[in-house]
Amino acid sequence: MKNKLLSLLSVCLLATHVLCADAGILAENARDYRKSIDSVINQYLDEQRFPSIDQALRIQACENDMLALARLDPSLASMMPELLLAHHVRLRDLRHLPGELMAARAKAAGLDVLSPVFDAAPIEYIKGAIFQRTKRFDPPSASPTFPKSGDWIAHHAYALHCMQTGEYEQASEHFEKAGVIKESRGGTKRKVWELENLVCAAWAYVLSGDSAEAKSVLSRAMSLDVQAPPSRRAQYLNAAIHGQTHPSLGMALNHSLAQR
Amino acid sequence: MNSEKISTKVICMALAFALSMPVHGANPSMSQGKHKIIVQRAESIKDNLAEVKQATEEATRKVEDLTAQEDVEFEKSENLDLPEKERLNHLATSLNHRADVYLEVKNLASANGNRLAQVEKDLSEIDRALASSPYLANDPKTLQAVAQVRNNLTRSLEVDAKLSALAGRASMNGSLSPETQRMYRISQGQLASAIKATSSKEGKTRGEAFRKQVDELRSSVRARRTRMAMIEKVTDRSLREIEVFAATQGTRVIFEEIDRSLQGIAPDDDPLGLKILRPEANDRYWSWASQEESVTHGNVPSIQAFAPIGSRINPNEL
Repeated sequence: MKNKLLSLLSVCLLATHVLCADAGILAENARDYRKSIDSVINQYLDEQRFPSIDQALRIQACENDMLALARLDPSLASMMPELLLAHHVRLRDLRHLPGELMAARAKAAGLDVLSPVFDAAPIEYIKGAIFQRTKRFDPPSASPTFPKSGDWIAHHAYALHCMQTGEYEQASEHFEKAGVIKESRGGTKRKVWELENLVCAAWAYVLSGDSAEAKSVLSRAMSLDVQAPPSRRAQYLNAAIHGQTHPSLGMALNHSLAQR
Repeated sequence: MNSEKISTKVICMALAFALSMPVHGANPSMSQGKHKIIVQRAESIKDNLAEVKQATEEATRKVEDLTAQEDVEFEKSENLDLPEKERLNHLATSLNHRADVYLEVKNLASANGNRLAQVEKDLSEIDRALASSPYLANDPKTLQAVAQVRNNLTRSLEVDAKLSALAGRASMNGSLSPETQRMYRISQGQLASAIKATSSKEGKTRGEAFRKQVDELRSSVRARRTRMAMIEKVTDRSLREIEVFAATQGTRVIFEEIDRSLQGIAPDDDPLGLKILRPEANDRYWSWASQEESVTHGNVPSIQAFAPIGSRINPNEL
């Protein structure tokens, strides 16, 4: 039995060596790159500390090195990890960097954490206390029009626009406001609208650099009694904040979380 | 227990040996022997083309000899002073020479076609060997990888511009560590050099020129291969045509002989050969029998009121 295990281990080691040898130096650079990003995210979530220009430059230096290697040998291009700074980071403010890196990693692993997920069914709520009637509305798309106070649909549309332009502080505020339906005390029937807005707000807080508020909004979101499957965006943020993998997220998403 | 230990040791040794071996593909192209492949293929192309040339020269000589012989024989076949049979024999020999010419050309075209196919194959092999080489890559996977890197670079250079501005300000404020400053500058220098090294205009031009040359050569070889196939077909057609002529000519000779023989047997002026057969000669035999009868029975004349027709005509005239 021991002998068989040893043989299996040897074969695995040999296969790993053969597969990785080609990418050798690129793989090492990719590991450094991952570590640099992990340290920026962890320091932000654990210590509320924002990255310095030194850290940003180190991440970019890793991307530069990997790009130089891939440029010189295109066969390495397919082994290169997704370049998060190049493709997903706005660099408007270094305080946004950790959140943008987290969202970028999730996107690279197949989950767009910044877009709300509504099913095809219209959102319904009960209007009126004495003469109750059911009202319906559809989720809007992004709009640059500043909303009137209490117009939850316009708040949502404007918040989406703010997310697209990188104004995360504004976005978080408007997502929170969008979650409150003024015409109905009880909110929507299924609570999907409230949940998605709160999860968006939590992510917007993460991106704006306020991880404490993000945690608070996320816990509010997760306490809602929602008549829908659990939100993966919420689960992912929860796993990222608490540094714990979640079985329902799958291997790619769990692997994209910062290692502590 | 002992066998387990031995097998464990063997596995560990094999593993150590495998790990110490250089992995194939980790080194640049020269060590992968691409240049050797190209040189070998080029040699093979050279040999094949030399063989094509040699075979063509030999076949041309043979064809010229055969044509000369054919001309001599044909001239003899046209000589009306010679007997017909001899003339026909010369014609047959001339035809044989013509058929030999066609066969020679057909075989040459077929063999040359095969050699040119090999040349084309060697050129493709060269193309494949160079497929992932700098400036020569044209396989979809490499092209896609190059495009992916280019796309990443475009975005990365924008980020680099922003970060360089931020780093410049931070450096002036003294909030940037010298190590990071140095490391970042090195990485920028490396990336710039890598871009420069892979963007050489000359390299690209040379690569394109080589690829164009290979393409032109391949196209030229293909054209000649096609021509060879056409020569083979047209020669085959001529050969079959001459076969038909030979067959019809041969048949004509035979028919004429038959006709001549028939003329001897049944001439037009006496189609039934009555001059030779002389059927009336039968009469004397009839007469001969009647004479014998009269001798046996005495000289008593028979009284016949009517003479039967049969006794008056030749039965062959019926």
